[in-house]
Amino acid sequence: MDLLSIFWMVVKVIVIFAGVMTMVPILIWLERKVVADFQVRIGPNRLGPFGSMQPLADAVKLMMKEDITPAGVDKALYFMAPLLAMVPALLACAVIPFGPTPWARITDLNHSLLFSLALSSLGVYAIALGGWASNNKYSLMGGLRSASQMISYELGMGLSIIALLMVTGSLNLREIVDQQHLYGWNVLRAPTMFIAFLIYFICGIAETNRAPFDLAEAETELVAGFHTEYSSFKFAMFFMAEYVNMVIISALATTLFFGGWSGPGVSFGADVLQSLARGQNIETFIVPTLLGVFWFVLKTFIFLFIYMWLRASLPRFRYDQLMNFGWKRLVPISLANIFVMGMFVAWRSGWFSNGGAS
Amino acid sequence: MTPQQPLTLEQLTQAHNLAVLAPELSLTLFALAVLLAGAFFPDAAQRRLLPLLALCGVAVAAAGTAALWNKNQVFGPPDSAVYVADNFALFFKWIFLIGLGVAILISGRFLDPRSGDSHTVIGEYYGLMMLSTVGMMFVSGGRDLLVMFLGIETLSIALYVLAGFARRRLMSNEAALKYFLLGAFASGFLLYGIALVYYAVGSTAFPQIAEVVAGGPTRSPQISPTILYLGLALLVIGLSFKAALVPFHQWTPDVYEGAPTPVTAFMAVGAKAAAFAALLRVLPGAFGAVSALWHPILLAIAVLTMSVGNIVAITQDSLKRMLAYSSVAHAGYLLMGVLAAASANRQIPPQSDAAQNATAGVMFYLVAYALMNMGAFAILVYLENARANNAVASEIARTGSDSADSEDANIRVDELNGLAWREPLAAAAMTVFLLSLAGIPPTAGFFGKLYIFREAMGQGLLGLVLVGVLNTVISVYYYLRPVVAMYSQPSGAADAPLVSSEGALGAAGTGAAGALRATSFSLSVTLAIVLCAVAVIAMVVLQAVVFPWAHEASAIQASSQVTRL
Amino acid sequence: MAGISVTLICGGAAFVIMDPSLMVVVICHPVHSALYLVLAFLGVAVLFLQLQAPFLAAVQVIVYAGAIMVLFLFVIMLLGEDKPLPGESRLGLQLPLAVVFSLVLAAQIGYLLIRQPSRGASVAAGPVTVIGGEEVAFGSVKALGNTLFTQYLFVFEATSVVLLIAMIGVVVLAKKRL
Repeated sequence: MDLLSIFWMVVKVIVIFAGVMTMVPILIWLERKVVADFQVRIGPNRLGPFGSMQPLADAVKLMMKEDITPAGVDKALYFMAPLLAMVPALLACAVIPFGPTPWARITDLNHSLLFSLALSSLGVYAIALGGWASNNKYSLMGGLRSASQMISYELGMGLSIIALLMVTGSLNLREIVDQQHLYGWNVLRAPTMFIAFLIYFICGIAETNRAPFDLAEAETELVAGFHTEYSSFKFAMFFMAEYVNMVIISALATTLFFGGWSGPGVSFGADVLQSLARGQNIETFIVPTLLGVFWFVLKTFIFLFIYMWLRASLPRFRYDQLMNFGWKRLVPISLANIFVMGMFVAWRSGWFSNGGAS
Repeated sequence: MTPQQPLTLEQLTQAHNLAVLAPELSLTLFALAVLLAGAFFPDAAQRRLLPLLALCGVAVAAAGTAALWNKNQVFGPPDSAVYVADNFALFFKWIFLIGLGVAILISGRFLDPRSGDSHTVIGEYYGLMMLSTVGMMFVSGGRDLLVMFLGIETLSIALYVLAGFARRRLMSNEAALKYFLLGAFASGFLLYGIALVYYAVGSTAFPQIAEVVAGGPTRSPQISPTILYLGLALLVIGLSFKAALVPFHQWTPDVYEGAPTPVTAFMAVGAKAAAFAALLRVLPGAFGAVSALWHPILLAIAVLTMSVGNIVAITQDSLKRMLAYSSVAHAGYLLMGVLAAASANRQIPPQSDAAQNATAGVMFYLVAYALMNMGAFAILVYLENARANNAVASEIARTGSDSADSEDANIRVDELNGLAWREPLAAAAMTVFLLSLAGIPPTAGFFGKLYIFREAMGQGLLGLVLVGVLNTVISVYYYLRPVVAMYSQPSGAADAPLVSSEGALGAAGTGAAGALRATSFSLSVTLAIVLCAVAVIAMVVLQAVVFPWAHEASAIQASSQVTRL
Repeated sequence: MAGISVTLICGGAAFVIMDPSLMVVVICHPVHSALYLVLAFLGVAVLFLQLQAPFLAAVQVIVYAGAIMVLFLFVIMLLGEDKPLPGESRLGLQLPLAVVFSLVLAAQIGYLLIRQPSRGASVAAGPVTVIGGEEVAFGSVKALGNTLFTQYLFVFEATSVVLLIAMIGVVVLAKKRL
C-alpha cells in the first residue's frame, strides 16, 4: 500500500462517514415533517426554509446542555455505552457498496455481509450496558427489553438472509449487487424472495428499536428506556446511532434485495474496473459513479420513508406480542421460506430433471 | 487438511447409508415419540404408556444392532468415515441397551407424583435417558476424536439433567450442579487435548492418528512431540473423569448418592461403559504406538483406582455411596484389561491375539458389571419404594394428606438388618449381586475378573494382578457387610425399618388404587431384579457364548491398530 | 514487512485474548468479568481472521459475542448481582495451592518444551482445498461447508441431538411450574 492509496482511502472514509452523518439531521427533519403531515400538523417551520435548520438548533442545544452523571453509575460503562452504540453503526458503512466503482465503497471484503451482521449484533451491548450502567430501574428494564428483542429478531433476520444467500451464492455485498445489475433485482429473482425481504425489513425495524417495536423507550411504562439517565452529548450519540442504524438497515435492504446502485444509466462495475486498470481516462466514470450513488440514495430514502410511515401509523406492540411475533411467526416463516427457496434452487440447477443427481 | 476428493451427490448418498445408523436412529425416533406423547397424553396414561414405548425403542434398537452384527459397515465416505458400525461398537451398544432397559424398568416409582414434583415430566425423563443412550452409542461407534467428544457431551448433558431430576431434593440439585461443573471442566480438558493432538498430528481420525503416531510421532519433525504428549495427557484426564478413575473420581460418590437411584444405576453402567469404549479406541487403538509413554501412568492410575475405591468403600454406611466407591474400584479392574491389551500390542512381534483377548475381557467385564450393578441398584430402588410407601402410608394415617417428602435419606446398611426374613427374595437377589460384584465364583463377576486377570498375567503385569487380587479380597469385606446384615442381624423395629409395601398400605387402609399402583410399579422393578439375577447366575453357562462374541467384536478393534515400527 | 505485520496482529490478538481472559478470572465484578470475556472473544475472532477463516471469525462474533454473552449479561443483570463477590475470603487454602500447582505445571511444560523445542510448522500460504477442480481457501465458507456436509456430516447432524437434550434439560430443570 503506497501513501497515495492510503490518502485516497482516508478521503473516502471521511467522505462516506460524513455523508452518513449528515443523513442524521436530514432524517430528523424529514421524520418530523412526515409525521406532522400524517397528523395534519405543520411540523418545524421556524428555522430556515421549511424549518430545515431545526435539527441543527437541536444539536447545538444538546451539546450546550449540562452533562449529568447520576450518582451510583458504573462510570466506565456509562461513558462507554454511547460509543458502543455509535462505533458499530458507523463501521457497518465500511462494506456497503454505494456505487459501482471502488470510489464509492471503502473496502471490498469477501465476507462483507457477515461483517455487517457481526457488527449489528454488537450493537446490543450499547443498549444493555447503557441501561444497566445508569443505575436506574427503568433504564435496566428498557435495556433488557431491547436487548432480548434484538437477539430474538436477529435470528429472523439471519434466516431471511440465508434464503437470499441460497440464490446469490455469495457473501460479498459487491458481488451481490453486481449480480443484480446483470440478472435483475434479487427480490424478483425467486418466487418467495419477497417474503424474505419482508422478514428482513421487519426484523430490521425491530433491530433498530423503532416503532412499532420501540418498547425499549415506551414512555408510558419506562420513562425513556435505556437512555433515561443520559443527557447532553451522550444522549445525542444514542440518538444519532439510532438513525445511523436505520440508514444501515435501509442501505442493506437496498443492496441485498433492490439492486443497490444499479439503475438506468449506470454502467457495470467490472467494466469500469478493467478500464481503470488499463489506465483509461477516469473522468469518464465519474458520471456513472455519481449516478449509481444517486440511485442508491434514492432507494435508501424510500425505505427510510417507510420507517417513518410505520411510525406514524402503527401503535406499539405489547412485550409478549412482540416475542410471540418474533419467535412463533417470523422464525417459522423464515424456516419454511428457506425450505421453499432450497427447492427452488435445486429445481433451477436441474436436480429434479435427471433423477436427483447434479 | 488433506485435499478432498470431490464427491458427486450420488456418491455422497451412497456413502451415507442410513441403515448403518439403525440403532441410533430408532432410539432417537422413539425418544422423540416419547417426548411428544409426554406432551399430549394425560398423566395416568403417560405413566402406563411411556415406559412401554421406551422399552419398544430399546427392543427395536437392539434388533437393529443385531441386524448389523458382522456387517462391519461405515457411515460416510469409505476411506474417511468418522462413524463405524463394527462389532466393537455393536457389542457396546448392547451393553448400553441393557443398562437403558433395566433403568426404564426400575424408574416407575420415582416418577410417581407422590415422590416429588416430577409428575408431568415423565416424557422428558424417559426421553433424556434414551437420548443419553444415543450419545453413548456415538462414543462407541466414533472413529474420530470429534465424534467421541460429541458423544461424550451428548450423554453427559443428558445425565447432568437426569441427576437433578428430583428438583425438590437438595441432594439431587447438588448432584446435578456438581456433576455439571466438574463435567464441563473435564470436557474442557478433553477438548483442549483434542486440539493439541490435532495440531501435532494433523487429523482427528483414529486411523490417521495411529499412522502418524507410529511414524512420527508428529506430522512433521518441526513439531515437538511434547505437544502430542500434552494433548494425550489432557485426553486421558478428560476420559478418566468420565470413567471415574482416581484421582478424577471425586464427583462420583456425591453424584451417585444425590441422583435419583434409577438414574444412578443408568449412569454407573452406561457412562462408564461409554468411557471405556472411548479409552479402548483411543489408548491401545489410536495411541498404541506410544504406549510406552502412557502405560506406566495408567498403571499407577489403575492401582490407585482399585485401592482407593475399595478402601474408601469399606467405611461407607450409605449403600448408594458404597456402590459408588465400588464402581470406582471396578473401573480400576477394567483399566487393567486396557493395560493388558496395550502391553500385548507392545510385544515384539505384537501379540494381536492376546490383545484381542484382553479387549474382549474388558468388554465381557462390562457386560457382567452392567448386569450386577443394575441388579444391585434395582434392589435399592425396590427398598426405597417399600420405604416410601411405608412413609406415605404412615403419613396418610397420621395427617390424611398425601405428601411424602421422605426420600432424602439414602438407605443405610443397617437398615437392611433382618431383611432376609421380611423379603427373602430381595435379600437373596441382593446377595447374588453383591457376591458377583465381589467376584465370588459361580457368578458373572467372577468370570469377568478371571478373564482380565488372566490376560494381565499373560502380559507379565504381575504386580498389577497382585494388587487386583488383594483389592478383591478387601472388597469382599464390604460387599459381605450388607449380606451379613440381611441374614444375621435382627431387625431393629425402633429405627423405622423397611416393611413390606403390601403390609404398610394395608395398614393405612386408604385407596385401593394407590396400593394397586404401588404393586404394579414394584412388578416392573421385580422383573428387573429377577432378570438381572438370573442373568448374573446364568452367566456361568452363558459366558461360553458371550465371551466369544466379545472376542469377535474386539477383532476389528485389534486389527485396526497399526503396529509399532 | 508482511511478516512483521502478521506477527504484530497475532501478538496483539494474543494479548487481547490473554489479558481479558485473566481479567475474567481475577475481577470480582460479574458484569465487568462478562464484558472482558466478550473482549477475549473478539480477540479470538481476530485470530481466526489471521488464520484465514473469516467465516469462523464472523460466527465467533455473531454467536458468542453477539448472542451468548448478551444472554450471560442478561442473567447477571436480572439477578441484580452487581455487588462485587466476596473475593479471596472464600478461596482460603485453595488460592495458594492453585498458584503452586499452576507454577509446577508451567515449569513442567516449559521444561519439556525447552528439551524438545517446537520450531513451529509455519504455514506460508493458507492451505488450499480442492472442490470440484476449483481451489478454495481453507477457511472459506465453501471449504467449510464441503467438510461439514461430506466428511463430518455425521457430526453435524448428531449435534442436533446435543442441542435437543440441552433444550429439554433447561426446560425440565428451570421451569417453575411443569
